[in-house]
Amino acid sequence: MSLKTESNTDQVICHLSGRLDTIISQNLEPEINKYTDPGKKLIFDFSQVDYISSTFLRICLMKFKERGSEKFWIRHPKPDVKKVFMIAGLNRLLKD
Amino acid sequence: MDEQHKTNIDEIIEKATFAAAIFNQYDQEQTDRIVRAVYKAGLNNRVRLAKMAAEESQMGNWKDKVVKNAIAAQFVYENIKHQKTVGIISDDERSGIIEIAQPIGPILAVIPVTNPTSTIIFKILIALKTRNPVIISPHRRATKSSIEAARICYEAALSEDAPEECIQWTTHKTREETQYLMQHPKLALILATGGTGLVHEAYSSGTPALGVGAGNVPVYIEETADIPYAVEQVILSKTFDNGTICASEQALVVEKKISTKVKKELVRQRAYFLNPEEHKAVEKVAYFTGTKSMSAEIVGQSVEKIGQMAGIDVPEGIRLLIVPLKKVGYDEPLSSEILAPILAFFETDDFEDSVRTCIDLNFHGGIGHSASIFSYDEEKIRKFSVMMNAGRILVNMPSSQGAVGSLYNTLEPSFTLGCGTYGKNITTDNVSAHHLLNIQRITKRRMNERMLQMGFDIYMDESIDADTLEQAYNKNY
Repeated sequence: MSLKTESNTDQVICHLSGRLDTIISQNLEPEINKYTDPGKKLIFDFSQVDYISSTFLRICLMKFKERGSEKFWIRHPKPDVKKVFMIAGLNRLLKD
Repeated sequence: MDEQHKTNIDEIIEKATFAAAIFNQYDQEQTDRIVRAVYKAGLNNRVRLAKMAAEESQMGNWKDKVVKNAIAAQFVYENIKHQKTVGIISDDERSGIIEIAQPIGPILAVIPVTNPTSTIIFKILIALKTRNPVIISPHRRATKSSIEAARICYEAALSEDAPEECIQWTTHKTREETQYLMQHPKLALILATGGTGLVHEAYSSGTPALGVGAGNVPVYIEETADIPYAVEQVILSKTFDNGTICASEQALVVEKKISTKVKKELVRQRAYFLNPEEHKAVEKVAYFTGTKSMSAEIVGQSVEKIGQMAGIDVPEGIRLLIVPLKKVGYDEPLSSEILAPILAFFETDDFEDSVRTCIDLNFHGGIGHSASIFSYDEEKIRKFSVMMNAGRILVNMPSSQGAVGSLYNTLEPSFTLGCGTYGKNITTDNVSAHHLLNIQRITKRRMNERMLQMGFDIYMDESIDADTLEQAYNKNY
């Protein structure tokens, strides 16, 4: 399972793990889309993510556009994955 | 240019940037799987794409375009398939240097009308092999076939899980839009294959560029050459795809002592010498004196069509038109590059006179590109080659197919032939995958022993001169 969530009144943290390739990302998308409460922060914890696909990058960007930087961010990416966001010019999505 | 057009270009670049980011995670094995899928798709569609390109551009002929597509797919793939292009690519303990290959980022691939689908297959293969996304910018007269070639390659790449948008294409753009795209700060490199103006724009954009130059290839048939063979090879080359390759021969240079034999052989092999009136008629349709360049309408046309355009009667079965000329320059328009089966013919007094004529041709719009010689005299071949300013000097082979590489020699197969600084390019190489990498070098500590022995203090004494320092540095301790 690539997704474990932790939720409280203030925020939802999605702990993702492994290789978020195209198929896994497509399967994860409806799961992630369940967290629609605009009052809560949505945080993707990337500490166990080894690889992200174009599809998952798009999901992240979509969440950022929907929720803004105060309500969505990605934390603790491994160096390889951090570099992906830097090259893509999406470092604004990363926050610790 | 309005805001909407700017936004469209920004979106293309943003998608390419995302693709570059994802691609950065791929290992060699994944990368090679994608490249293999694209090569196979290109090769499987070689005939369909060739027919589309010939029909749409109305240049060349589909059979030769099939050969070009096959070279772009199979020969390029065979050349790059074992190359290491990801991560650590070399580790030399003695020098203490470890090399790491990094992708360069989004590439804009400018595509010429003369070789559209083959250039696309070639550029996509070398871009993907180096994990770089590529944006195809087709020529307006070959848009449909270009987009189809790019689409086929993209589908194949996706079948092996390549990053989304790793191959994109644009439709017709205004000059302003092209400039905006070329100057985009997120674009890493322009692979500019096309006319001089376009290549100049690429170099002027501020974005690094690998470009090409115009050719005006002299072919010198030296007295020791095998004349029937040389003539056969020149005709094979100059008529290939109706002369659309920029490395094709533009002028034959022949010493008087063998010129009668060469002429006879040319006629025997179905070349036709134009008389002065026919020469003028062809010149009118082949060259614009105003812009001092060949006419776009003549490029890649058959002898028959050129005859019709010029209103001259060319006997049936003729493969090549020969124009006898006495001097090189703008006064003789057909001494310039004409990408069609029209070849200038110069008679010279001796070796030196021949080389002088070839220098004139070489410097008349073809500097840095290619030159060709047929000879079995090694010394003369070398003397000739040193005098030429050409990235490729082709010996005893057809220059079109020879310069492209891998068929008649071991040059790298390429559809982007560098012309060096005289051709306003950064390299004389046949451009390939290794030009699309940033090479990082890890350097381990390896002290310069000679420096250690000599020490730095010696430099502080002003009375010690360069000769003494040279001796001290090179002393055998």
